[in-house]
Amino acid sequence: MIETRSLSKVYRVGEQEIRAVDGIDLAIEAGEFLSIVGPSGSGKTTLLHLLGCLDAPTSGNIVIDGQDVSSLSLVELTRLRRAKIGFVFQEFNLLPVLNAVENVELPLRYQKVKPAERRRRALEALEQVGLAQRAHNRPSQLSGGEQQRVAIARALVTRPTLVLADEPTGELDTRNTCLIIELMRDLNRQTGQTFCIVTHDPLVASYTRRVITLRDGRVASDLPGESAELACEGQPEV
Amino acid sequence: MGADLSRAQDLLDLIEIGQGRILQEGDEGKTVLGSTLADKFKARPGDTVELRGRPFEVVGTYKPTLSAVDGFAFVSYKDALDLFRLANPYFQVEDIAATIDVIPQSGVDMEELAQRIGDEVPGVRVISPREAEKQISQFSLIFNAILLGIGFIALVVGGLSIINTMVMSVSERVHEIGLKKAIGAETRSILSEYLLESSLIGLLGGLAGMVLGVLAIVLLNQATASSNVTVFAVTPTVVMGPVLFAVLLGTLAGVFPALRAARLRPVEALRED
Repeated sequence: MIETRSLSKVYRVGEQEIRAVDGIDLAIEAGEFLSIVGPSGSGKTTLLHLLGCLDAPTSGNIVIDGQDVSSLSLVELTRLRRAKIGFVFQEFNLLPVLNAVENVELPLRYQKVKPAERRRRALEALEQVGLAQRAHNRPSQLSGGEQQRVAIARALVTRPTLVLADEPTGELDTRNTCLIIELMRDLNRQTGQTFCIVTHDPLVASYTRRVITLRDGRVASDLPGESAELACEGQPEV
Repeated sequence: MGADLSRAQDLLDLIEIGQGRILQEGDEGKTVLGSTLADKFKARPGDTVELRGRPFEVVGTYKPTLSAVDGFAFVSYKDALDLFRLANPYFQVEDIAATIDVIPQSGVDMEELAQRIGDEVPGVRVISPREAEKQISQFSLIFNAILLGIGFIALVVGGLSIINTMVMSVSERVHEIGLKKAIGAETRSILSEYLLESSLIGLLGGLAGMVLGVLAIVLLNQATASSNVTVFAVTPTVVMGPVLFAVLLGTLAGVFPALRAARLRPVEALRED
């Protein structure tokens, strides 16, 4: 469903040229559950931003569902994002003035979905992440793990074919990390949505079925994951 | 004001009488009050009021004229001279007049008359109608210039603080705009969101300013009402102008940073914190 060809992103800092992503060829099939790992500065986040059309490549192409996105205008990119891609960020990025269900509704509002339908689908998504009972709490009244589950619900509510997560467990403890990664795995199994997770955490990577390791902006290895089912065994239930 | 009652009938009759009658020859110890003074003393014809420590019988009160005359008490020239001597014991004079008002018969060229009086009557300074008009218009010109200056400074300072507030409040939210773009907001919907917010804030601020401003004007006018002067007028332009100004400025100042942020690539906007 996604293919990149010699994808590169070059930043210029003063005289210095930084090749954050340096000629990556990658193919991701629909329904995959994969992680992108690598040391800091290896280009993981930049690659994720490029895949999500949040940033424009310096050179190379990204083809999503057969469509080359390099030729699209900013407005067309926004529409593509809205229709096909959901994002989960490390720092959750919930709007503090909205409560959980209103945060989840936000992408639907930009899709011009009617209010009643919006509310119904947002509550459904919160139910999926096990937070239906916190729907009317503001982010400040939720724990880090709960906030990230709200953010996942927000990413899922538009029923995207591709979910991109940037260090989704980066600010969570082990118990909540397990909760989030198992939630994502279950969603991937139930809905067949593609999950692409950037992570530092070997525990998270061990859950995925494919692990792509980056080094200096290039793919260092691309291996099947452990698909560990039991890594979180023994963690107390929430 | 003291008047020579044998000759001043025409002058005293210029002001419309409210109650009672105007002063007549031989009305020593009697007075006709201007409307403000009458209100102040709560005096009606037949009452006795005390002027500078001496009792006077009120024989009439004038209607309001909305000019300085409303604060005058009219007495005979003889009484006025007595009062003057009483107040200035070291300045004993036989005859004194502060001003002499000349009322020409119709058809007389007043400038020419003023010229003749200046030439023929010693020891007076003549103010012709044209000169009086010039003095008044000069005064109001200076007054207006001061008011306009204050208004202009207030406008510039107020305008700058509106711009500053709106630019800051939107700039702080570039990250939020980046997030909204990431989850599918188009530049257009971001703009309309912030346009609505900015103009609402501008409207609320403008309305609050208007209420305070009108209140201040009403209070000021009340304070000067006793001397029958209305310094500030409340007109539709004065009321609505500043509100429109605040809405327009608030909207523009809010929308430009929002437009800038909405045009960024989402990743650039997300990076800003």
